[in-house]
Amino acid sequence: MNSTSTSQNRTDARSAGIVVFDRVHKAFAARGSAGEVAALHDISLAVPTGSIMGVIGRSGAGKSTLIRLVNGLETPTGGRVLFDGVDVGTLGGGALRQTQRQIGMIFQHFNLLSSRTVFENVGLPLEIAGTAKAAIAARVNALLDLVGLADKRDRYPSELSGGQKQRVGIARALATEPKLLLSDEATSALDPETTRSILDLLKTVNRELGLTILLITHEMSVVRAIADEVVVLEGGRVVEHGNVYDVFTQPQHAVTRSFFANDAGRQLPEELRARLQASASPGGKTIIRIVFRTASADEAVLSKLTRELGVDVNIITATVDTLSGKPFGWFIASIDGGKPAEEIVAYLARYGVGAELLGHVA
Amino acid sequence: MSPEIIRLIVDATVDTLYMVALALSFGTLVGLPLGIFLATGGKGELLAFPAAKTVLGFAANATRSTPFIILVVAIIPFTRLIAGTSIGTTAAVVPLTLAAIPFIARLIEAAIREVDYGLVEAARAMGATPLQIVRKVLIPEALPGIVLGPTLAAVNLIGFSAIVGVVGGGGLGDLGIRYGYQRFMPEVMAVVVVVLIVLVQSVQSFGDRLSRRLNKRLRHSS
Repeated sequence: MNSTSTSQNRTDARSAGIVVFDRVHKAFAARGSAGEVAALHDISLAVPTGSIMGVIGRSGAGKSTLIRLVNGLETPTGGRVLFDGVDVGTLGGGALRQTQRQIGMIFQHFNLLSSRTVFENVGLPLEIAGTAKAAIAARVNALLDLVGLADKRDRYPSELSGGQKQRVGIARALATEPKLLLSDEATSALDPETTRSILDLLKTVNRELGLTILLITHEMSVVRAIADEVVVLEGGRVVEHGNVYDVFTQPQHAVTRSFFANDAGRQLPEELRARLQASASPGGKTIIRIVFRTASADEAVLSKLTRELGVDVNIITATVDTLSGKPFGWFIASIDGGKPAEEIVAYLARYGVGAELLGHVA
Repeated sequence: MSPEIIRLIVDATVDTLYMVALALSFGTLVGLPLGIFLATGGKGELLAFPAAKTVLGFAANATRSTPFIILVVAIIPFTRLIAGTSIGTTAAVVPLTLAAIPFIARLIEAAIREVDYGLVEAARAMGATPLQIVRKVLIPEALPGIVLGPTLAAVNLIGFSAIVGVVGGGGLGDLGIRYGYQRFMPEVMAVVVVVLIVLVQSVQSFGDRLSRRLNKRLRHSS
């Protein structure tokens, strides 16, 4: 009876995702005092099997702690972290090590052993797992082919570029054929071009091996490039969670918006912001932010607005792009024509276009 | 210089090498594991065993803070127990080893603490046991620093070996004092000093070369 209900729980947990955070709390003993510092509060999340989930947050938001709970490098002080239906926090010794072998991890600073060649680095997890030498050689050579480093087999990490080091890191993380890959700021130390090639590799690995990836980053561009879902972490809490398209086009939380601050069309130009006033002045212009999403992006809403309300629309800054195959656009426009801002916002809303009043300029 | 004196110098050199080599071997044999433990035995560390770490750390400090000449005479009963005698070259190996152990251990501890913690974390994430982490990560990664421990210890032991003359240890330092100083033979003193310089130089440059060769963090032009 008891065992039936346990296996029932396990199945439920599995169907929710390969990783499930169930009301997880994590506090660290504070340095120099008896108190505790909470790193994570009441986190409940599921990482769907086969997906790529991006966790974004500023430094200190708790994302490192979050990812380390999954492979038992940290243990929760409350709640449960389930990997493949197993409560990782309750595992110890050999059982934990068995679980860890099913989870690969890559790091910002690669964490390759300087004393080992590329081949020996990739083979390390297999050596640790006690795999036979011949099997290690076969597996490592296949992995080096996969990451495109077969010719660097006998090089030392000091002889490689950052991107090559991360490829070794990825090959090493895949050595034990894990079900899950944890990525800890894996591209933060790389230049944009190398970042792109590493992200492409991760995407390939996700698609071809069906490997679930949980990544943490402080760059929205990384999330955008590969993630299916995004979680925004702030002060140890999940402040936003959704699919990447929704969060990109309709960010709800101020912290989420701050990650887009540098994107064209999301933020007012400095010069305009300085002149912005809260109330309208006669003969002045209204500044609004307009967000087009899937349904509206291919309709000529702006020209309709001009025609039907008799206003002039001047686009100040904009981003028009597609994300996950769906179009979206962000505009900041100044509208001239004496119509109240509320009327314009309401008009756009009728066409499913989000608009937000930013202010007025004389 | 008479053939007898040359003979004395050769014998003394052999004695010094004998004492240093033995003390260094035993010192490393004990100092290496001790150093590894001192680097990993603290609270929350890999082999966490804080009580033992505190005791061993204190013992290491106590031994290192005792002036060597006092250590030599203070442990005479212990030396007799180990070597069967408290006088002579072999007996001198006992205090030399005892002095070498904490010295080597502390240097190895420092070398191991230099290993990037990220590597330990990566190995933990792979499901490595603490001993596997020590064997496969800490020792190989710290090796360039680890070999400098015995190297510096060898240089120190060559100096210390001059002091064990007080218990009839023999060796170059003893010869220099007895002939060069007490019998007013400055030429013996000079030769002894030159031989010592050559020994120290060769030990140091051998150790440096070995350390460089083991250090894969540097790009090798070859």
